[in-house]
Amino acid sequence: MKISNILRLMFGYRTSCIGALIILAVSSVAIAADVIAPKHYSDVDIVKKLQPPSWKCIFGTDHYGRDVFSRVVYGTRIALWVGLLVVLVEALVGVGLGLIAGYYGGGLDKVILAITDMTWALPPIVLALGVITLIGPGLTQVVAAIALVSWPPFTRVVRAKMVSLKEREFILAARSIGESSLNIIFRYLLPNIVPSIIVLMTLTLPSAILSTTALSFLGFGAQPPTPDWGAMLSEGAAQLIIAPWIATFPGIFIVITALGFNLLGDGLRDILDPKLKI
Amino acid sequence: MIRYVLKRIIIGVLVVVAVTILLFLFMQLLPGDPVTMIAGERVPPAKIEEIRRSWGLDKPVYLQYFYWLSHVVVGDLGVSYVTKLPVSLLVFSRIAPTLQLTLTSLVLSFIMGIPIGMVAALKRGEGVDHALTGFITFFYSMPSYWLGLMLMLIFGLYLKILPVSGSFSSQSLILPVATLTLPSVATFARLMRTETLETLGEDFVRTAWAKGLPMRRIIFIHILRNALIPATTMFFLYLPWVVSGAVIVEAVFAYPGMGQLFYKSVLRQDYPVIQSIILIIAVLTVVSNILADLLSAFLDPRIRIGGRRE
Repeated sequence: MKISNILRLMFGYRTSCIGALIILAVSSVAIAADVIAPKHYSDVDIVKKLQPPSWKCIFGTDHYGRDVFSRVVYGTRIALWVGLLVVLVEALVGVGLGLIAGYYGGGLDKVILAITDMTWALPPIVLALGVITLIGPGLTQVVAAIALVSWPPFTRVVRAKMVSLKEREFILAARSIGESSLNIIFRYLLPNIVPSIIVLMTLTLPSAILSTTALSFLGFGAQPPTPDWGAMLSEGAAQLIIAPWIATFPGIFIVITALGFNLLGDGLRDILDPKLKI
Repeated sequence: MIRYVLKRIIIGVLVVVAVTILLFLFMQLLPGDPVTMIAGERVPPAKIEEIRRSWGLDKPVYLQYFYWLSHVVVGDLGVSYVTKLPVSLLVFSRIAPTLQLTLTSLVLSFIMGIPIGMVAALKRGEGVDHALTGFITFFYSMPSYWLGLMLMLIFGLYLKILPVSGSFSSQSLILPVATLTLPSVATFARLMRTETLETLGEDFVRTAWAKGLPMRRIIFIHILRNALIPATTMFFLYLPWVVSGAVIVEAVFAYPGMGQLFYKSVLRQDYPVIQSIILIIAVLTVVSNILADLLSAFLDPRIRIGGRRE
C-alpha cells in the first residue's frame, strides 16, 4: 500500500481521522511551544503564587508562581519525546527478538517465547520500579525501565507473523535461489510485517506515556523544574485542596494525548491489520 | 487433562525458580553490604565478620543462594534495612488489604465490562456502539493517578460525601476501588467487544440464525458462552496487572496495602522489602497464569486437544 493511499484511508475513517487531528494539534503545540507559552516553564514569580485560573493566566499559577499553562505547553514536548523514545526502544528489542524467534524456530524460539511470556505476565509498574532500584531515578532511566519491561507485544506479533509468512511461496522461492538468511529476513519478510509494527507502535505509545508519567508522578522520573506532566501532577497533588488547577490541567493533556494515539491506533489497525490483537 | 495440569504446574515451578535466581542476582548487584546495612556503621569489623559467617555470607554465591532460598521457603524473608523488622512481618499484614482492593475492583470490572463490550459489538456501527466505544477509549487513555486525584477532588473535597484517604471504613474503599476499576472496565469491555465481533462471524452463529433460533438464545448460548472464554482467562491474567496498578492507587490514597509499602520501600531503598514484594507478586502471577490456562482448557475443549488458543 502506498503512503498516499494509507493517508487517504486514515483521514477517510472517522476514528483514525479524529485521532490524527488530535495528534497533529498536540504535535503543533510541542513544536510551537516557544511561541504559544506566554512565559518560560521555569520562570518563577513568587508574588503571583497559587493564583486560580483567570483570563490573564488561563491555567493559574503554582506554588512558585510559575505559569501552569506554559509548563503544560512545554510538557507536551517531553511527553511526546519520551513516549516516542520508549516505543522505539521497545520496537527495536521486541522486533529483533521476534524476527530471530520466528525465523530460526526450534529451541531458540522456545527460549525467547518463554522469556517474552514471563516478562509480559509480570506487572509492568512493579518490574519497572525494580529496574529503577537498580539503575537509579531520572527521565532516561525511566525510559529504559519502561522499554525494558514492555517490549513483549512486539515479539509476539512479529514472531506469529514470521511463522505464517515463512511458509509462503515467495519465501520458499527466495530460499531456493540461494538468498542469504539476512536478505530473506530484511528484504522479504520485514517489509510484510512493517504495517503491523506501525499499528503496534501507535497503540503502545499511549501506555508508554501513561507509564512514564506514572513513574514521574511517583517521583522517580523527571526531576524539578522539568515540566513533565507526571511530575507536575505530583506537585499538584500536594496542593490539591488549595490549588486543584495545578493537578487538573496536566492530567487533561495526558488524557487528550493518549486518547489521540489510541484512536489513531485503533483506526490504523482497522485499516492495515484488522486481525491484530495485543 | 491430568498430564496437561501437571505440565503447567511444573512449568510454573520452573518459572518461580528462575525468578528467585534473578531476584537473588538483583540483590547481589545492589550497592551496599547487607550486614552493615542492618547492623549499622558503628559495629566493629570483627563483629561484622562474625555475623557474616553466621549468615553464611562467606560461602560461595551459589551456596548463599540455596541458603537464602531455604529461608524464603519457610517464610523468612530477611530483615528490613530501614525499620530493622522482619520483612515477613511488614509484608504479610499488607497482603489482605491489597487483595481486598484488587479483587473487588477486578470483579466489578468483569461484571461491568462484559455487558458493555457485548452490547457495543451487537450494536456495531450504531449510536450505542459509538457512545460505548468512546467511553471505553476515554477511560483506557486515563492515567489512574490523575483519575484518583479528580475523584478525590469531586467526591471528597467538593461534595464531601466520601473519605479522601486511608482505610478505616468500607466507605474509604470506594474511591480507590473506583480509581482502579474504571480503566480496567475499559480493558474488559474492549476485549469483550473484539471477541463478540469475532464470534459473530463464526459459522455456527450463522447456522443458528439460519435455523431461525430466537435472538435471545443465539446471544446467550452461542455468542456469550464462546466470547466469555477469553474474558474469563483475562480475569486471572489481569490480576497481577491490577496489583501493579494498586501501587499507584495506594500511593495516591495512602491506602495501607502492599503497593504502598512497595512504593515507600523503593523511595527508601529498602532492598529486602522490594525483593520480597517482587517475589510475592511473581508467585501470584505464576499462580494466576496457571489458573487462567487450566480454566480456559476446562471451558474450551479445543485447547485440551489442540495447542494453545492464540
